[in-house]
Amino acid sequence: MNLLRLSASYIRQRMLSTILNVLVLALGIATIIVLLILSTQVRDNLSNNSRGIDVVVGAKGSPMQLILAAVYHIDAPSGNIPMDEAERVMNDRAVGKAIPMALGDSYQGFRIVGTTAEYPEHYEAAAGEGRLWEREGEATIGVRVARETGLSIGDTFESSHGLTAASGETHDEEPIEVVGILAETGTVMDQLILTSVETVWHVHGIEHDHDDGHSHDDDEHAHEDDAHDHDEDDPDHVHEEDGDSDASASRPTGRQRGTPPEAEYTAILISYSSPMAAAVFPRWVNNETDLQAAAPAYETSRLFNMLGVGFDALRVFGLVLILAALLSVFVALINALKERRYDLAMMRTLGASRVKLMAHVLLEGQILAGMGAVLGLVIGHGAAAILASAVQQSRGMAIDGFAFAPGEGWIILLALGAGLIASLIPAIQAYKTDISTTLAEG
Amino acid sequence: MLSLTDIKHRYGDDTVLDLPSLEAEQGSHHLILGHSGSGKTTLLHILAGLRKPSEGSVIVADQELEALSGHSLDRFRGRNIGIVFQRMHLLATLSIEDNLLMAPYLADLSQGRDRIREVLATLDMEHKVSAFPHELSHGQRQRIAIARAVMNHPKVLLADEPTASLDDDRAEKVLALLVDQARANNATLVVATHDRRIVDHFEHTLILADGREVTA
Repeated sequence: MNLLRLSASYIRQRMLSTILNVLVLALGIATIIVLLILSTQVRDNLSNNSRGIDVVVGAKGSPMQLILAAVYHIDAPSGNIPMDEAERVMNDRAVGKAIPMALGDSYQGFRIVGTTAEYPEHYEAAAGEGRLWEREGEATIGVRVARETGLSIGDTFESSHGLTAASGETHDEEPIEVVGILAETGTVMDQLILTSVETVWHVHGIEHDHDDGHSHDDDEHAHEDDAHDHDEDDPDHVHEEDGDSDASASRPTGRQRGTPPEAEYTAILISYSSPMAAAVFPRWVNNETDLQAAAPAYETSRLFNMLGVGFDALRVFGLVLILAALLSVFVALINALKERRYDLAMMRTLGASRVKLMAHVLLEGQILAGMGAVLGLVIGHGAAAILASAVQQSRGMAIDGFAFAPGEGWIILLALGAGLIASLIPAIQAYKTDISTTLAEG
Repeated sequence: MLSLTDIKHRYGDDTVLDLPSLEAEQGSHHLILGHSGSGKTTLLHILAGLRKPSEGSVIVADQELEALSGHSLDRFRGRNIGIVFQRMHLLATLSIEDNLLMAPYLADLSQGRDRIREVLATLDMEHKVSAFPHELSHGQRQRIAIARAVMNHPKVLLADEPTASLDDDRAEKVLALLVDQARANNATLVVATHDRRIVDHFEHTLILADGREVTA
């Protein structure tokens, strides 16, 4: 016999009340844990994906949209950059490293990024199998792309116009060959299809110089711009002139139908040559060019400030649930104490000290809180795993619902503290039990 | 040895107990007889150290209770005084075995299952060791309450209205069990009751009325 067994026996006796109290507490804890996991991992994810990128240059529009499209690949780009403007920016002395990218196509919902080898290098992504693309028509795919599409080295695929799986229109006469699969990095690299900018231009029938000796007639391309059967009603395929966001490298700014398309980039990821550049470069781009410069760190922080309101509301909801559980446990213990005042008095006649009775009631509160905390952890991580899966499907963000977030330990302490507070007054009442009076009543 | 000297107990201005002296040899059996409100339960609680008298001295098992307080008094009570109440107060959430184990556990004594078997055997209740209180009859619960009271080999066994609301036959049996257990443990037995049917079983009887000793 010991106090734990004694307290547990009383908890078992009022099973329904115990289950309800534990469940309310668990839901409060689970809510906060889900928020902790999601906010921590989304922030880490965003920060990881934007590391080393000081600024992104793209077509004028929403800076956040530019960052979401060019860095995190979860939004459509705001437009394209004419080549001369792009080169002017890239050759500026404030620019240390410039990674151009051409966006606009996808395969089964995975984005195709026309870029240079510096892009995977920036994320320390190397080919886990095969190699990086070298020639036009070759692609190296992220590990998640390989896993979910079943593509493997040597396979070919046709890109679809637009950035979502439902885009529909495919460049089916310009197959791209998979020559490598990137090793997993836990970054945005895992979900991209990387190829050369020239490949993207090529499938869109854009004239460009070849540095690999490859040449072809424009007649070879059955899907030059005019050959595209653009469906003006397709919501996922909107022209830049509409001010919408599904711009692509194949649809240059201001071009008229029938005019040969020009080579363009969608965005340029830039690392400064020196910290001083941060003071002048964005202002120069925004004021002196037709482009915009957006800083990932600033936009990410802005995004989190916006999301923070929602997170805070949910956090308050979780705390309210914990408070409700605290009150519920308090009421349950007070009522239980009334029912068992003779038991407590009897224990005193058997030699139990006041402190032992107090400890017995406190322990009961701690058992309830502990059960709530454990169940809350399980529900919280389970829910986070389900949400993580949904986020990964819709936003391509890798979140591990079962990873422990910093601060979870505090939540458990909060739950145990709530149990302690809820049981403190009943415990003091147990301590003060007048055995003689109680037994005389009974 | 149990001794009370010049005991007075008051609730506000009302003196509910005024007892010049009570002596009980170790192993002797005493009856405190009185109607409801006569002060017998107050006296029993004072003997058990559950209530401190307003005045006077109480010595139980050669220990002056006045000298003890807090945990030391609780521990002394648990180790030296067994109490049986009319309503028994068995812990409904625990098995009979655990109810009996509570006695040594709460008195900080080693918890031997041999002692449980021994006590239950004398009460013919070994087969109920795993049962719960609600599974027992009233008589069986009363036996378990007696078993719990003698678990720690008390020097004093106190019983408050043990035969109330029992028929003659059952009252005899309960009383016999109490006497047997007191003898088995060489404990001084003190029974407080209003039940005159059991007067003949005791060599010493103290009759109380309005908190004072009266003659029969």
